Formats: sequence, structure tokens, C-alpha cells
Amino acid sequence: MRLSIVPEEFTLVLYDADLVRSTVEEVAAAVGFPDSVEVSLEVDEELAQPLTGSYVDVRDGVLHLWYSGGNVEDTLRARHLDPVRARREFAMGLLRGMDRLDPAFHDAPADDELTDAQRALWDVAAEGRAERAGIAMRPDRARYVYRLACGFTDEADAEYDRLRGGAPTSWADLAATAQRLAPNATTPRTGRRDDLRRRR
Amino acid sequence: MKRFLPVDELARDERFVRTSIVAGFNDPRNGRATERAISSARLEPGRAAAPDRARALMHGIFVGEIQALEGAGRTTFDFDDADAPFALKLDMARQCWDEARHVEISVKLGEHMGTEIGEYTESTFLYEAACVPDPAMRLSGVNRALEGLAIDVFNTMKEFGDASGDPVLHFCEDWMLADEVTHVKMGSDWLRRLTEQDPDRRARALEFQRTVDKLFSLGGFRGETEENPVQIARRFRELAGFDTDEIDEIAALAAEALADARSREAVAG
Repeated sequence: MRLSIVPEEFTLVLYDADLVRSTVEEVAAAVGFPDSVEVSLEVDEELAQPLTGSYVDVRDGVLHLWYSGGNVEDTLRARHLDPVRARREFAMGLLRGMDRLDPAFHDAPADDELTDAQRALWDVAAEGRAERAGIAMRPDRARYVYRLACGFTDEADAEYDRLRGGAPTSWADLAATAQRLAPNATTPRTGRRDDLRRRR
Repeated sequence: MKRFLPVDELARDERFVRTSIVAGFNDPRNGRATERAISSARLEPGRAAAPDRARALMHGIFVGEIQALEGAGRTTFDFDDADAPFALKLDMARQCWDEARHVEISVKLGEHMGTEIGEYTESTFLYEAACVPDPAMRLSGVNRALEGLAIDVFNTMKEFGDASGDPVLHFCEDWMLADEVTHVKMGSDWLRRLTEQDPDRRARALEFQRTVDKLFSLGGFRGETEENPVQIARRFRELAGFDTDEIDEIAALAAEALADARSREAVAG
């Protein structure tokens, strides 16, 4: 796998770029990420816990992963990398990237155009696959994020279990699920969050 | 049993990791998030990073409740009856009961939101504010300033639960909020009684309250603008006995705290 990391050296945080690289490579092998695909990973070291966020997009055949530095930060030691969190985050990103490389997902909107529900559903499916690939996940965390987006309802919980147990076959499947949940979500939200990557 | 227990002797197991507020001031990333195009820092479900921000705040509430329990507990024991009447201690004992229940509720809410005890660090400055040797200052600093802050925080979390359709969070926060209103009112009543014949002591206690209010506005954590995650809950503060002038003063202190933080960030570059 050709992997480029931005920044090459971290200056605001005490993250080791070599450790980031080896973690991505290890996780890529675990989830079966294709060697032939070029990956560009950016960890935005200006952003800290709990200001988390991530984006996964494919442009010109290159997988672009963007993470807030907070996503991989140790919550007990500010500015230090948490390797366990990093494994989880990178696994999710690579798995969603693999989906995006699949023609069945080519019509998926860019990450910053997904609704909360679409993104949450996709994340749940990726989490389930990551767990089956041997990556230690936090289903309790995922369920809460999912419920915030898709509703605190029995129907939404059933969908969570279904998606966690098996991947969506296509973007159309995933979008239809989000659409199905929307009317019955406790607080259906179609709007998008602020994009943490954008500067004023 | 020892009176006036120092903060480093608080009982904690290995899950708790302490952090100092000073370490946070020296983080070179401070202020950089304000350069991002974030429309509002309010803690609302649709805002950036809402789940993790809510989780971190819930853990902060949890450790805050432990320290509030410890602080109220110390007041039942640290003073002779001449300094703190038995009826005041009885009220503090009742508050301990509430705080213990809040600790339990906060643990359960943390689990509900996907976090666990010790996932985040504990800062003990709430307990430190509860250690002043004058009971009148404890009432102003803890019951009026810190429990007042709890009103703002719980109301923010209640609204978060309401907006996200989370019946568990909404319901639990509403109940705890009701307790906090009582704690503030209790503090106001006892402060008045203890300082009835001593206006200087009352003035010193209220000055201490202002110091604590500003400190706990934490560089913009609490206020009344889009830049403040936690909003001042005017209606519930009125129910707790704050008048409009007092609430305006807290809002002004919060704005000062935000301005101070921005100045620090500008100096740090």
C-alpha cells in the first residue's frame, strides 16, 4: 500500500508519524485493504479531544482519510496518541474507503454531504466488519452515536443490530435504510454538521 | 477522623487519573479550533463532534458530583456547631444524599452514552473550592457558584436530551436539575442567616463567589453566546433565588473569562 501521511512530522502534539504509519499498515492488513490502492492520510493536529470528526473520500482512485487529531488522542494524556483508538479509527476509515472503491457505492455522496443518519448507518456497518476482523471496537459508543442520528427507538435499534451483523450491499441499500428510519426517528435530522476541516 | 481533608487525600481507585487545570492552559493547540468555520460552540446534537463532547461533559459531571458529595460531606464534619449550626449540617447531609444519587445516575448515563468511569481525567478544583475554612464562603462558593453552574450544565444536557429525542438523558437531567435548584436556594438562605450580623463577612463570601463563578466559566465554557457550549439557565437560576442583577453579573463574568482566554491565546500565538 502506498501511504502518505500529513503532516510528516507532528509539532503540536506528541504523535509519532512512524507509529501512525505502522498502525495504518497493520490495520489495513487485518481488514484486507487492497495493496494496489494509494492512501493519503491527514491527521489534523490542531484539533483536540473532544472535537472529533473524520472524512473518507475517494478522488482519482486515491483514498483520502482525514481525521481530527482528537480522534486518535489519548483521553487521559493530552497530546499523546492512543494506539487503541487509532486502530479503531483507521479500521473504520479503511473499511468505508473499501466500500467507496466498490462500484456499488460509487453514487454515494461525499462524506461532507452525508446526512447524520446515512453516516451513522455506514459507520455501524464498518464497525461490525472491523470487529469481525479482530479490531477491538466500542459498540456502546457506536450505538449512542447511531441513536443520536437515527432515533432512540426499537426500530432503529433493530436496524443497528442488522447492520452491525452484516455489511450493506450498496449505497442504495444504505440510503434506503436511512430513508426508512427517518420518519420514525425521534428527531429526524437531515442537515449536515459543520465541516471541521474548513477555516473561517 | 481528620477535619479539613486536603485534596490529595481524597479516596480514589486506580480508574481515576488526575489532571491539573494549568496543564490545559499550556496546550499549544488552544484557540486553534476557533479558526475553523464552526457555526456554534453550543452543545447541541447537530453540532460538530456532539457525541464526544456530550460524553466528555457527562464524565465531568460524574467526577463533579463525587466532589460535590465530598464537599458537602466535609461541611457536615469540619465545623463546630458554633461555626455551622446543626440545622445547616442537616441540610448538607441531605445534599450528600442528593449528590450520592447524582453520582449513581451519572455513572448510568455515562454507560448509556458509551463511556466508562475513568475514560477522561479528573480535575479536582471543585473540591478545592469546597475546602475554604469559612462555612459562609463554602455556601457562596459551592452552593451558589458551583451548584449554580450545575444548573446551567444540567439544563444544557437536558436540552441536549430533548433535542436528540433521548428520553433517558432528558428525564435524568430534569430530576437532577430540580435538586440543584434546591441546593442553590439552600446556600442562599444559609448564607443570609450566617452573615446577618456581619456585612463584611457577607461581602467577602460574595467576592469569593464571584471568583469561583469566573474561574468556572473556564475561558468561555459557560455563557450566553454562540461561543459558549453551556448556556446560562436564567429561568432555573431565578427559581433558585438569583435575581436578574446577579444573573447579569454571572453573564458578565463569563464574558470576561472568554475574553481573558482569547487574550491568552493571542499572546501564545
